[in-house]
Amino acid sequence: MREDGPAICDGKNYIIIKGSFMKLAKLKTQKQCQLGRASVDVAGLLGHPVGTQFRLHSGGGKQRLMRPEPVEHTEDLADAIAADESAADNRNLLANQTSQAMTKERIMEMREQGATGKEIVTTIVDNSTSFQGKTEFSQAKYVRKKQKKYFEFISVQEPTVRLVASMYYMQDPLKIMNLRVDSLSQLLTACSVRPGGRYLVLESGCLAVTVAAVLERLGGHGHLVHLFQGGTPQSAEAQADETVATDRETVAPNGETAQTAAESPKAAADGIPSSGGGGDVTTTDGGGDVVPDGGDDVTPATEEPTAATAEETEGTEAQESRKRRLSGSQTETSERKSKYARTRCEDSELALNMLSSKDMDGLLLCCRQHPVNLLRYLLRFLAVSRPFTVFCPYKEPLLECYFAMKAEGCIMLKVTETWLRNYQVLPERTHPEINMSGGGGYILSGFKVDRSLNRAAVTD
Amino acid sequence: MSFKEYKTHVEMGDTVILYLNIKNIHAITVTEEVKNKKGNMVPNIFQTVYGALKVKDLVGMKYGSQVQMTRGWAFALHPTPELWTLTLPHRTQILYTPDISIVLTQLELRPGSVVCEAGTGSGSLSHAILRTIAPTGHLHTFDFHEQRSRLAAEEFSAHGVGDYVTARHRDVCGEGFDLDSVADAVFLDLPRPYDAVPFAKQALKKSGGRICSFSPCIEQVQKTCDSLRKHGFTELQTLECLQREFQVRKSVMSVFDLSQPPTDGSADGDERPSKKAAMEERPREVLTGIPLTTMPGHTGFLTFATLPPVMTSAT
Ligand SMILES: C[S@@+](CC[C@H](N)C(=O)[O-])C[C@H]1O[C@@H](n2cnc3c(N)ncnc32)[C@H](O)[C@@H]1O
Repeated sequence: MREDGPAICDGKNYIIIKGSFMKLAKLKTQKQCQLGRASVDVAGLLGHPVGTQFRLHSGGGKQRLMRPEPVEHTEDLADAIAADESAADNRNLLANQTSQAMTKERIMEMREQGATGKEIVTTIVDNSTSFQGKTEFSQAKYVRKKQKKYFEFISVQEPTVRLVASMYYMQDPLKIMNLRVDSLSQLLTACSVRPGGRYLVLESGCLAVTVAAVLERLGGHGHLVHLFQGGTPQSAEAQADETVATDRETVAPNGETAQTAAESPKAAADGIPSSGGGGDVTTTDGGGDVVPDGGDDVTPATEEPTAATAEETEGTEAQESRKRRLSGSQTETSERKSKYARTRCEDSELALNMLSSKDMDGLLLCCRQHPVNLLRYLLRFLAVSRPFTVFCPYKEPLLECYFAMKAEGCIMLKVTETWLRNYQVLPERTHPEINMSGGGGYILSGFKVDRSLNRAAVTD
Repeated sequence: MSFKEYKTHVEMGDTVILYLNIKNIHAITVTEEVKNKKGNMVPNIFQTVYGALKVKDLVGMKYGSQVQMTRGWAFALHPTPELWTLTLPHRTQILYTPDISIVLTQLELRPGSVVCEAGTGSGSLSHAILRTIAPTGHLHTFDFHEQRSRLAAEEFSAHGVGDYVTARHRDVCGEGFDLDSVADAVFLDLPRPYDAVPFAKQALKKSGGRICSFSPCIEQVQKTCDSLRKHGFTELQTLECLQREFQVRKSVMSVFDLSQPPTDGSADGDERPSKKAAMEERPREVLTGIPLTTMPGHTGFLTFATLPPVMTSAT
């Protein structure tokens, strides 16, 4: 059907977008995909190119399964909403005792006759006597609510970091420590993440979004050492990390071709995975716990609240390898198994070897713990003339880190936040969106340098 | 050549970021000689506020180490696209890192991506794109200003990233990109981006892709969105992103202690704090981050959209 690009296939994770609603779902032929109250017939989605837009037709049958039909054009949600927003003309307003003159039956009837979501919502709004009396703010809210319910277009997208991070943030910013996608973007540039580089990432409490983001930027070239607290990584992490798969043929560092597939060991059909334990994601932590050996100037373990367990991945190759371990009895070709089988123990050893050379190309911290001691400890693994960056939902811990890093002689220290404002852009109706996020977290960034000349001069 | 990958020591031909202090950062190309105003080759001496630097002395130095200057120290840093953005020679207005960061993420750029960019301008964004899509991707960048296009191309090859980029002198609003179904993403920073939208669509892969347009003025945004909708782009999103920097300060504020009863005993039962008690100020240290008194308040609006895959025939 399409000249290039992948098709939507059975058993893989996708992001389903329906208006302003997003959901991560594993599509299975036999199953239906639940989108709010509507269930969609998955069989009708499979085989179409990833990114295809579908119109949902209310189907018959007991289950009222919605039948997706691929379409070239969809209605713009914003357009539909704003058209109603400016519906100051109320000549069609029905005089009625109730605030909503439209009955459920009438709406169903309209639907059966093939009215579009936009038409239905417009009719509902026109028939709402209370609508005109609402403030602009609540009008928008009202229409948005109706629109969401009756919007009948969806698209099926690859679970990229852009979409997964925005989805998590939309569902609940606190689930990912208020790490808004613009802040995530700043972290990646502040660390200058590039293919072929070696990055040390300490993440906890972000559903592994930062890990996935760095992996996406490595694209199979380079290394990522992921430090996490305790024996196993956050259970959901494996998911995010697999979900956001590059899903492309990428050349692994050893020259082999590694195909990364977005397969999850756990059906993520219910959207955001719980950040707690449980599920069938298991990781072997036996022998995997390694407290980094700091050398002569070793810092007592008390300095780190985190008994850092090291894990190493080499771009997509290791991503695949971890996936294999996590998925246990997943159906995978034996060829893959032999190619990527590497135990957690081996991973840890690789990671430690890499760290011991103390020349990582970037250090990225994004954790629930107070970062100051972790940062001071981990800085030793960073090469000179390389950037580090710390994300924190609060500003104050970063101010402490600022002074700590200043004392370490680091330069170009900066504490920043980004301010993000979305706009509705429509003919004659352009304005900033009525709601905005109040903040997306804070970032400290800086560079490690070598001040030995300074020291030499002082001792002279 | 130092943009291609990290290295440990400075070599001849490298671009070195010389950091003196936060207000004095320079990008210098390590050569033995430079052309002076008269066109003669003279030893490459770089003048800074801390004194003169014989540039060729940088060769062999470890990146990240200190450089002795006549009146102080500087640091020789390895270049990154972000440091380049801070130091590059401005031939046009440029995009800065806060916007660039969002562009990279929202266009879903990664190793292997094929990107079209217009105009090349000073190559600030181009360097960040190249870092992100190398070594398997490619950037096609266009500018209708002949000299800018040429200078950018020279810079790309001097920086060792020439293999990943094709810089062309071309009016993309009039003639298009001369590319058909190859790009994963298109970026427009042009006075009339809406005129380039149909060509952008043509340049994007049949499997669809992402587009971004950066415009300082809302009128341009308005027309661009109209054009994007008309040409079948979906998921339109216009946003503005500002970076707020905090100056980190340890400051001291005095705290009045009003909890003590008056000690002079003159007015028993008098609830009013005495003059003396009010004088009991104790200093308290506060650690704080203060927003800058002035900051960039507007750079431009970023409009993003998705081109869905082409439907060839209905099944
Ligand atoms: C603001 S600059 C781009 C800066 C660039 N984004 C950067 O970060 O360095 C805009 C550039 O677009 C070029 N330009 C304007 N109209 C053009 C057109 N129709 N075709 C190609 N280039 C064009 C101008 O010559 C100018 O160099």
